Amino acid sequence: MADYTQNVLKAAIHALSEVVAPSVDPDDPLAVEQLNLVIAWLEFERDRYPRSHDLHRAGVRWQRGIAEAALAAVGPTHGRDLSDRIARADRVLAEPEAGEPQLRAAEQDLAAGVSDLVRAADAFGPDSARALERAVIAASENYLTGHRVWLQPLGVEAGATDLPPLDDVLLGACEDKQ
Amino acid sequence: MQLDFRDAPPSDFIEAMRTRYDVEPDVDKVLTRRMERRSETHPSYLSIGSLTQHLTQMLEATLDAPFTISGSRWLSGGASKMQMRFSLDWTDPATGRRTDELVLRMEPTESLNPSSRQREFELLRAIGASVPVPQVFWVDADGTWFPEPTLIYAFSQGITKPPQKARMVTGIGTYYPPEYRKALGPQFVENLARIHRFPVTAEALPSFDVPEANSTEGALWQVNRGRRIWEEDRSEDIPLMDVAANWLTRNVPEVDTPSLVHGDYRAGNFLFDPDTKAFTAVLDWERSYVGDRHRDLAWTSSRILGMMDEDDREFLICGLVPQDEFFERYQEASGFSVDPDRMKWYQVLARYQQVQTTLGTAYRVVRLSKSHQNIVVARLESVAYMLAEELRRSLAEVC
Repeated sequence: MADYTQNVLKAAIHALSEVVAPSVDPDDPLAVEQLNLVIAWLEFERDRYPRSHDLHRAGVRWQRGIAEAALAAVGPTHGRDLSDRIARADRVLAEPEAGEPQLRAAEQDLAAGVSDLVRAADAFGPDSARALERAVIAASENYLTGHRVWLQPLGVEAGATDLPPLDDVLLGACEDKQ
Repeated sequence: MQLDFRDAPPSDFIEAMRTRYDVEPDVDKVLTRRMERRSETHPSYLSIGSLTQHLTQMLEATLDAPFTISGSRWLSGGASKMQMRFSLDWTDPATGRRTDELVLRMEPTESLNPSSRQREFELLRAIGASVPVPQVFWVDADGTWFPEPTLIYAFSQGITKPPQKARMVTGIGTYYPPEYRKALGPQFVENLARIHRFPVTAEALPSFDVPEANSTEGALWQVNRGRRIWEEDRSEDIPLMDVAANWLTRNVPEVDTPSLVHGDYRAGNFLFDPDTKAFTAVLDWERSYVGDRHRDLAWTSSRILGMMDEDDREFLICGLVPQDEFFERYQEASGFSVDPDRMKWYQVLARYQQVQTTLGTAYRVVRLSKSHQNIVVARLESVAYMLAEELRRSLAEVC
């Protein structure tokens, strides 16, 4: 099937840049600023949307990494609920046809499970609380790096040299190195 | 669109947030108002014409003599407030007939930084003798004349960054060539010191609550404000934010001397004369409050707001002042010490607030189309994970 979405996004960017932009009043700074931002977003989406499914699968893996680290820190007694959530996420990841809604739900389910544990951390005693929090801090790096790489074309981190390539974060090479 | 109870928060949730998170009364008023109105439909965009009509109605009720509004046009810059510039020919009872270039600054239906125009009005009126700020004229504190609370102040001449093309930098900082740094850097530090030295009184700032000295009250108000807004706005759980909230709450520091805090003191929030390079105005006081000066120091010295110098040797705070020099000059100018432990706490707080704004509030504002600048607000997501990584690194140092 031809990629009609790419075609339409290209046409939209062209229309806004070549036809609409010259007609916008240059003395209307809001209109000029917002038009430029819309064009930048469309270009970003055009670049990234073919990898959208990969991002959502990676999102589940990143949250799963945080959840596993949290579970290891608190042990099976306090982590029973989280353990169930990890099993549910694994079933979603094992399903090749899982769509973005299922992947997004699995990611949020894991994050909610970890957050519930962290909010209750003081009840586990100071050592366990500290271990849990340190585990979440360390394991969050992949999740944050992944999103930073994904958003890199928007330009804020355009010059960043410490970020890995997109393929590495989406396909798990970075997690394998941990 | 998937249902989310935060889009139309039930009254018991609003009350639960108010009960759980103790904040200043004026902050509570602003936050409660926005939650109670969240599910209502209000136009997020007003035309210049309709905004000018509201302005005319307010001035007709305020001024005795005839007046003329002309040249109304939008101002860009900043994503949290709606700003229109206009000329007003009017009769000031004290000085007679005059023409002023003014700025109308209105809260959008929901703001990236929910805040009080009344407080901003009081503050600008009070601090004008100490720090260059726009002269304030009128405030519509409760949205009597305008759809939302609105402030009217003088347009300040000046620019926010050097006119020449900036070198490419990572982050959102502004590049100032050395000759600009030499002129602007000392003023940047001196004005911050003046803000912190400003004598806060109930007469000058009646809408501000002053926390008790040598208590944790002031710091708790701030961490509670951040946690409350995160809870009211977020779209998902982010475990790192819960770790940060735990650590902040367990380690709340005392405020030794309550000071006026600007809240968003950085490059881009001051204007300077391009010829003399003298500061003409410090702007965007919406995050201001009375509390610990270390909050400003931690926010201003954030990595994301600064950059390395041309030789990649020294970190420049806000692209203006080498880090060590910044703190030396500040202590000399303010007479205040800088406490490393409190700096660490406020660094975590500042990052927490930044993530709360860019991943929580920005998401909700855009999702519900609450701002005339939705696309500008949406763009903030692109910096959110950088900020979250700074938060993560700050937490790794202290946890």
